[in-house]
Amino acid sequence: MSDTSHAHQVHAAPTGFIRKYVFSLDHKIIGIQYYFLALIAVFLGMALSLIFRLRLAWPAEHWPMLAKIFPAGFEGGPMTPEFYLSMLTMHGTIMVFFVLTTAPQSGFGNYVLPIQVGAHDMAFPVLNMLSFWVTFVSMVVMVAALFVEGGAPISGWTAYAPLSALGQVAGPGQGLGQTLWIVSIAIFCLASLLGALNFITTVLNMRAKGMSLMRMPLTVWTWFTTAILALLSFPVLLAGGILLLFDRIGGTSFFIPAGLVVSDKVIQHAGGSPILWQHLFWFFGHPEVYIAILPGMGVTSQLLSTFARKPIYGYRAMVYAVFAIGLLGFFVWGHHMFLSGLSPMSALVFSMLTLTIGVPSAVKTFNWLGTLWGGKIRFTSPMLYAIGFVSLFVSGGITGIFLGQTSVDIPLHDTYFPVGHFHLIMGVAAIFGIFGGTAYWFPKMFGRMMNETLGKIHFWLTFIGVNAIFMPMHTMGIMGQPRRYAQSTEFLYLAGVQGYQVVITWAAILTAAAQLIFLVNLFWSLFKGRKASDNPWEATTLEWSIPSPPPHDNFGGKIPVVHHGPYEYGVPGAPRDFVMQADPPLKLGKA
Amino acid sequence: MPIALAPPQIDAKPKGRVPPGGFGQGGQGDDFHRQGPNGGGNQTSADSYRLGMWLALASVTMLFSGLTSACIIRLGGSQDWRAIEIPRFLIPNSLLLLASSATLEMFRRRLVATTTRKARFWIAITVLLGASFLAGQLAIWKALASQGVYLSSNSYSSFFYLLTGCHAVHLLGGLVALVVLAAMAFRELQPTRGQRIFADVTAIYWHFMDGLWIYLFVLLFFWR
Repeated sequence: MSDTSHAHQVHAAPTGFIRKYVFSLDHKIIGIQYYFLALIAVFLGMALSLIFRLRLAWPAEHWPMLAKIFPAGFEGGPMTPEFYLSMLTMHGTIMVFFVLTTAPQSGFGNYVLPIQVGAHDMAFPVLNMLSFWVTFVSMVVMVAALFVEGGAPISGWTAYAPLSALGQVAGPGQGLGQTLWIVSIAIFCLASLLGALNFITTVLNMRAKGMSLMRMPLTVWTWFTTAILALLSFPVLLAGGILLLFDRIGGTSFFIPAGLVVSDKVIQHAGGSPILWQHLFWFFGHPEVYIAILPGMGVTSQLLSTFARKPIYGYRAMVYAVFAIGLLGFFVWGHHMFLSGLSPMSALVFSMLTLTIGVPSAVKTFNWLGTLWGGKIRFTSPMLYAIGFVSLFVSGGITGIFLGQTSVDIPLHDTYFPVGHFHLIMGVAAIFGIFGGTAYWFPKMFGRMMNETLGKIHFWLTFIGVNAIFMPMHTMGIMGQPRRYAQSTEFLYLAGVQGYQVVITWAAILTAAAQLIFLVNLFWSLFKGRKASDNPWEATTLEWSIPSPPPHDNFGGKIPVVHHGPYEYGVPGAPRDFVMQADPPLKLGKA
Repeated sequence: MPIALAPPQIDAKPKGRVPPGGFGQGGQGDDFHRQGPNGGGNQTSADSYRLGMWLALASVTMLFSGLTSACIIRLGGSQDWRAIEIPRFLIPNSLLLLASSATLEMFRRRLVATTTRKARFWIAITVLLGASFLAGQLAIWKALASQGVYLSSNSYSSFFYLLTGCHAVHLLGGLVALVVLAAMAFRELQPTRGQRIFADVTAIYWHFMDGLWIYLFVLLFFWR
């Protein structure tokens, strides 16, 4: 068509503050907005975890400072069990949705993906802006749940029915707090849809000339796969959320069984199935685990290759492994439900499929080790985080093999063992991916380097700290410590566990304190860090061939032509030890 | 005038040559037919908008898969299932929706091929049919309520209201897009590329909602 003058051209660089930094269409600003949203969320989530850790370590202690902020949670002196549960619920929810889903995918993905594929922006910049602001609204609604009458919900981040479906009768926080929780999650589902279709379209249709699929950096592959998972799994959570909301406010009985008696009251509902919620939730919930971890895998691959100065070992195998993990993630939700009365036959199928995920995971791990093997390793702080990721991925992943087997899961279900497992792999490993990504892309995003010394101190304290927190939980789980209990001092068989609780709480306090080093490093470097060159890490992907920070349309109107794979380090005969993707084709003599 | 079987293209691709390096070597950046002065990837193409719409519809599919599988499981093992008398009016009302898809397609093809003058009539009819369907749904809910069948009456009525309601909300969004298209068609003679793309993706969405309705209709009307 000839009337391209009316077409959506590259949007011009905005000049006003509002259009430039608040309602920005620029994927880079949106990425930074997501990043800082997640940063606020992660510190909030961490603070909540410290509050409930206090209760676990010292159940009878009074906390006058906290009691002033949350008087309802401290009626009668010590922290009430309900308040403990509400802190636990909000910790899990905020961490899973607003940190692990937001920072690695929406934060770094938004910032880096368009540049890495050689596009001037995302395919749909307006949707991109909307997705951030809808996420923001979702977080405001979620945080509001902390401060409404009755407080935050107490049903855990999984919001199991019927507890979550009954309303106030099921406990404080199950009234307005739980309703806000569901509304917030429903809004979040919409936001993630907007983000996901943008990511997929950008990867499929906006790549620069020469950027074939098999030349895409592994980060792009993982963001792409994650977007597919989000696109297909969040709507199912939304479906569950709609049903749950109608059970709460519409008088329906989707999840509430007949003849239920709660708090000595007969509930007037009929015939619903609480297990139905579990199916809907975990059909979303298991892909969600990979939504959290896959981008971290991509970042780790990128960092290991860059700082070992070697091509990633088995690039194609890595791509297929990412896809295999994503695909299998849709067929294993039943392994969260081995104790829900699932038929043994389907439990067997779910179990076998779950163990199958060990194969692509092992492919990735061995390829990471293969990448390190014989490399000229540069132990920069991003590299340390990447190696830390591999370590945590292994120690958290191994226990997944335990829990994937019904016979082992039955005694360990709902103990601290799975708590240790999923915190290591989904929580902390993914967080190390975020740390690694921050240290690696900070120079590109803000044009300044982060402080290496502070970074290394932070890495070691955090790495030791998280292991001190989550490793003992495995032992506690084997000893029989149930999760979600506010207090276990009354149980004779758990007499030996209380010492662990105190140690873990101290480790958590110290690890949280170590995060202040990260925060100081981040903000100090923003203003005072050493100026970064265009390519401080001598990396190969497209974002390093443009200025730091990049101009508004990334490539200054000149979309690059890609001639090389993403990880061409140490190419024999090349002038440098790395060949950037947009470098002209090598003219090598006959070998 | 007979309608051509193949719908006209918005960004027409010249036939023939294979891009250097073969297909599948890149995104639009490798599609040299479309490259502007700055190389590829600078403009969000009609294909991208269509892809985005299909992805959104994949998401809608998952939403309704979630809801209807819940429906099948819930009704399958339920003790409180009661058949309800669905007003017969549901059948002619469904035909309205099917007809609106046909008229929208007439509009889309005329808009993409020529000016808005020849398309105006069809978009007006489409808006009318779409709005009538929604009004009809409202009438059906009212008729059910007057029989004493409410959202919370039994598990079947819950799912009936929920599924038809969810579909109606999606359709309402589509209707807003149709009204925007109609306003454009009556105001301007020559549609812009952006407006053609908008008509194109709206049509995809509307047809999909049509198909979704057939699925829900079969589920709710015959599987009682």
